Amino acid sequence: MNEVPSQLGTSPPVDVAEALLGGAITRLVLTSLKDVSDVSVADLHVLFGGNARRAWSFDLSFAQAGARKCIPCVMLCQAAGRQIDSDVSHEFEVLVALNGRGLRVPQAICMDPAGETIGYPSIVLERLDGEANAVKLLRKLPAEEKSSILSDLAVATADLHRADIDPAELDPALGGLSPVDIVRRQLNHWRAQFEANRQEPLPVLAGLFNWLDDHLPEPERISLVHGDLRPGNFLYRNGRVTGLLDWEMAHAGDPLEDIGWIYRPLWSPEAILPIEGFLERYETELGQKLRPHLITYWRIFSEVKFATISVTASKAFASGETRNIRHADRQSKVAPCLWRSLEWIRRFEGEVRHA
Amino acid sequence: MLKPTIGDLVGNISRSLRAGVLEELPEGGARRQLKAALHALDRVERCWKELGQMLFEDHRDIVATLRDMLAGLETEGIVVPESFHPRLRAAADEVPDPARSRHFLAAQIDAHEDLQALLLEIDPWLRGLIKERAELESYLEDLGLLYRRMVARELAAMKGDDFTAEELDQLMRATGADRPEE
Repeated sequence: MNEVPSQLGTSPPVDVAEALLGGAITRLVLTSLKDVSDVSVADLHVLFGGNARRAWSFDLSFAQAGARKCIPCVMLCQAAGRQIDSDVSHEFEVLVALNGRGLRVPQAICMDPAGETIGYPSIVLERLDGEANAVKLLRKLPAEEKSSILSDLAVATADLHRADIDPAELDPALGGLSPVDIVRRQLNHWRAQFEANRQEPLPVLAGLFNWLDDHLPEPERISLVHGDLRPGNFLYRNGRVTGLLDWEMAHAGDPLEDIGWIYRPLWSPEAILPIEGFLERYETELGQKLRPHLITYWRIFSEVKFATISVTASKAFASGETRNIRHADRQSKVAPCLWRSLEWIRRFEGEVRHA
Repeated sequence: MLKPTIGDLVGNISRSLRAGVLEELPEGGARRQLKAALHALDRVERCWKELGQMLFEDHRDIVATLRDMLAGLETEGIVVPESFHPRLRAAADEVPDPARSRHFLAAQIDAHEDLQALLLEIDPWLRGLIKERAELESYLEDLGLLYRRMVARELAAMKGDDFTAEELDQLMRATGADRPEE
């Protein structure tokens, strides 16, 4: 049933389009939640819209088990031409696994994985308080507030990594695998992505995958890794992190992967809270001291992962899969990642000698 | 025709669009698309004439490094896979004399891609060797140094905005990528 997007595609007046979408959301809630009646959708409006992902905000109200419930919601709709392969049902299931554990994550409400009701693959989540503006966080807020948010991000990250989640609950294929094999699957995933999307052999990037494989450390623990934790993907307000967002790259793995990603140079909060300060707070929360060469390993991994995402985006533009010009020159972002990786391999070797 | 050069052409179009069109566009998808296009055009303006030199230096460096590496490994008693030498020789001969070829740049690109493909096979082969004979580690270090020179050249030639010109100069000197004759 694709009536909503086709109607939207002909650009009806905004209020008509929103009424159609509101009706589709109502049907989705009625068919997804148990014993629900008298559903209403209010204050429906676009939160953001890009080529890859669109978000709508609304207030959901319904009757269930004799009680009236009101939930502020956000609906994330996935469109074509993405830099990464993901499906909304994975993100939804990760959130279902995390709900009820006291973590700063939105409640998963319902989903339309094939887009049969909404028109695009979509998930409906609780709308948390706060804002995610990365530029404001990194550049505009008062120094003390920025530092407080980053320090709290270390706590929220440690809380996430402490959550006791069976890897097989997230992906049945992980059942029975050793910790290092679980981590290797993530490396293999990105290598496969690279090999499927490169437009030339790129031997240095291929060599870095070989290096990562040769030096893959035995993880001290396996936890849920967010996979895209960085400024822009968490909400903050009044000096605190209020919610972690965008779980489409979440997976079971080595939790240090998230720290390497948070401190990637493109969006690094290093100027606000140097990585040493972040790690100190994280270690205190977790009650565990981290070995420096392991952090460096995951920083190298992060560069290789970002290079692979850039290779994939460049291919998507070259092949016409996306018309987003932001991806046209993404290949030029690969060499800086390679350089940093080669530099950090030297650091890694020094840290291993001193370990 | 020499003027406008490719760089002048692309740069002038970019400036014209920025002054005459971008200002007229309201915030939104079309404006974001144009800004992204201008960003790419600006980089093309900066780097269009660097590609030939980068390919030339890289080609010479890769061929010389792999020749030395394979010869050295053979003196250590290692049997080099049969296809490596002929492919290296073919890639070395592949670039035609620019005075005689109408397609010098295209031939350079083809030769570079062939050398990239050869490196793709040599890297895991060498890593496998070293797992059995750790005393050959220096050959992997040489490969790592080649990678550093290749990436330094690419960064200097692509003229992106991740590094300043001064940083790129330092990087070229530090890796020896600015001294191809050595």
